[in-house]
Amino acid sequence: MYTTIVETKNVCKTFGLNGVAVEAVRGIDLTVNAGEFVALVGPSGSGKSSLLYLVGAMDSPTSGEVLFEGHDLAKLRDGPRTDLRAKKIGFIFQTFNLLPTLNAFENVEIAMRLGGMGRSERQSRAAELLERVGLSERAKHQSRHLSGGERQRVAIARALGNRPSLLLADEPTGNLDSKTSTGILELLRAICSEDGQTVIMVTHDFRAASYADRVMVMRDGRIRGETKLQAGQDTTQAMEKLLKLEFQ
Amino acid sequence: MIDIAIKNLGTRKVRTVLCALAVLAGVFLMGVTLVMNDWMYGTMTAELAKYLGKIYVQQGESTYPPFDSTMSQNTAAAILERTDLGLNLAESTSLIFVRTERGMMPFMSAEKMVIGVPAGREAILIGNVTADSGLDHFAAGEHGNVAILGETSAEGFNAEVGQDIVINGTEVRVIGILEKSSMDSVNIAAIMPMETVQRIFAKQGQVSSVLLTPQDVRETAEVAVRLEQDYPAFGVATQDDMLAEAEQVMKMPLMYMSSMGVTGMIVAMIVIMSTMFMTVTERTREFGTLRALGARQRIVVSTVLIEALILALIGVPPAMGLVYLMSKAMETTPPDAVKLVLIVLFTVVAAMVGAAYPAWRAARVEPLEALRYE
Amino acid sequence: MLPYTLLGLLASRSRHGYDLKNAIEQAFGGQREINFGQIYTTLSRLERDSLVTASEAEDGRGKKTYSITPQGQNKLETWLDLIVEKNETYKDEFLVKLIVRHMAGYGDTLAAITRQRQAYLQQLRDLTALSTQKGDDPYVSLLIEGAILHLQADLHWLEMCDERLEHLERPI
Repeated sequence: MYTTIVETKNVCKTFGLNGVAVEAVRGIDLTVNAGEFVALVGPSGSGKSSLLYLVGAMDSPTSGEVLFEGHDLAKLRDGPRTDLRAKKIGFIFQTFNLLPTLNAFENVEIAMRLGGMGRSERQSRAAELLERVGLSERAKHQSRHLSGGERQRVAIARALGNRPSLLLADEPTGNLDSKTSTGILELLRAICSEDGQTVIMVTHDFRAASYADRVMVMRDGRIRGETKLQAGQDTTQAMEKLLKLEFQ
Repeated sequence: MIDIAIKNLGTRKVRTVLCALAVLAGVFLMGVTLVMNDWMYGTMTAELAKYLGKIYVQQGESTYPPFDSTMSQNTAAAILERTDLGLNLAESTSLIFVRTERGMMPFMSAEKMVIGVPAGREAILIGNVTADSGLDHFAAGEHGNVAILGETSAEGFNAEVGQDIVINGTEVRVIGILEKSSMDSVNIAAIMPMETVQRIFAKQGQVSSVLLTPQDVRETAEVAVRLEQDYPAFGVATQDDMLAEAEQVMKMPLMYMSSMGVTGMIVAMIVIMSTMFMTVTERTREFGTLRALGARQRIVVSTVLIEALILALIGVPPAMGLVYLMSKAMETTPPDAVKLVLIVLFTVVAAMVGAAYPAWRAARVEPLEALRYE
Repeated sequence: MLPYTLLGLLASRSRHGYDLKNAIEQAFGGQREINFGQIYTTLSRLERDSLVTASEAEDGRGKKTYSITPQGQNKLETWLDLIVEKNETYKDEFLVKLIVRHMAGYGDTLAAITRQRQAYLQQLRDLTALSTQKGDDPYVSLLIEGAILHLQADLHWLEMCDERLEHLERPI
């Protein structure tokens, strides 16, 4: 069992867009340990998504190291990298990206299938996971019949199938209204604090970021600052503070 | 991944059905080609089977039937008296062939012909064919206007035994109708006494060819060589020669048919390529997602190939069913197991070739690119 | 704002002091504890200004009944219709601190921003938790959401501070 899930050392990523070099990530050192909920906040173009994809073995760095459970991802070729994504990393996206021809249950199953899990095991686990995200009744629905929030829940269940070391979320609430967003963020919180899942979330919304334990603010490919947060304090106190402000 | 491929095809029903229909048409054409191929060869071999061990002496090329060959009856008679060549003269005869109606291809039932054979020798020509109402052979020395009709010929004339038909302006009495023979030349013929044919068609003193049977079948080739030496003015043909000749004649129609069949498969292949290409382009995001979830490139490729394979193979059973029905309707041999395997093989190859490029495209989808687009 | 709250309550009907205390506490989901002293002080002031009248109860127990006067009603309505003036200058003390810091020649703007950000984020966390629990009463949830929105704005503003002041960090 690794305690440090991901460690980047001076990792850089440069893209060539129409002949112009864009430095998306400029020398970032980031360490994420097991059980942490980390948020990467910043405006678009800050490099937060690029960093996420580097950490998630979806992309290779231009320079620097990305150590996933001790292994340098930069040295991996496409095949082993793909296998890593299958077994060790779970992804959820702003646009959910469920497979449209499969229903919720099958969508959750497919990830485990790709990870090499046997039929009976993955079917029981799929049922379990859908229960965990609160969608047991919608298991047989096609994704087009599910609401945005429901789709994201299916995506979360799918991502957790292979018991990944890391769950990566790219703007998970980007396409959801605030009420549904709260539900999703609370779910992510729960699987982190209750199930011990390590989560890295990218967002441009501070409110979403506040659900994390560590908030890294990014701008122009660099980390500008890190904040550690405590769990929500005693609510009566908070309430009083609020009301006092209103009743001067 | 097969169940997923089936689901994907089920989602796009119209496209799947259209593609399957195109494949069906291609397979059907291919099947028809193979069947026709078979049938032509089959008919030819059956036809020429009777010439195993037989030698034909005729003028000019070894065309069969020798419509354009003219020999003098005396020369024919002379050959028929040669006891020194090792011939079974009792099983040899002169023959005259006259074509009364031309068909597009040899042996097609549109052709009609008249065969003249010396009375008493018709058995050599007819072989083992029987007649419905007993065979009325020609009476010895018969030279009247009588005819024995082959089955197809009789149908063409719409004649019954005892009726009169008209051949070349002359009334001829039908004295027998043969059952269907494996030899098409017998089927489409009206067999009449030699003298009658010579008289009706004003070919007195002429014959077309001499049909010879060697005493020992194994010596057919040697006898043929000796005949060639003795009668350099004429062509001597054995079964092999005729086979070669017939193959020549059939070459052209066979080529046309084969090109039809091949084109059919090519069209099927193109339709598969086009359908899969559309599918792959539409599903770029899906493939990107699969890769992000940890699917290796080969998985993505196999999804495409399996879909193409299923699309192709759906069309095979109905196509073969149609081929079977058609062959029954046209009274040719239906396709056998070997043909079936061959056709499935062709279809699989066509599907794989067609799906190759789309599959390659699918494999190249990078997870990031697919997911970046909003 | 307590005077106006009392006037508002009395505008619907006359009430006892105790009644008024309960009503105020109810208005915020039972969260707000207010003591009689405050209420009675405010009531006497309102009486003195002729906005409210008090009358003795018949039962002689000393429980006064308070009622609003026409002037009181007037004053209330005027206040209700007045546009709320926000902090006119939108002055943020933090900005002042940044300016002074720069004047003093103490670098480390980023650290200051990070510390301030920490506070805002933690508050945001607390309020979000609160919002989940107290979501039922519409006024309460509006109160919380308002605070959250302000915090988000402040956090974005901090980003801007970091972005625009970054180059000033560098020594000349």
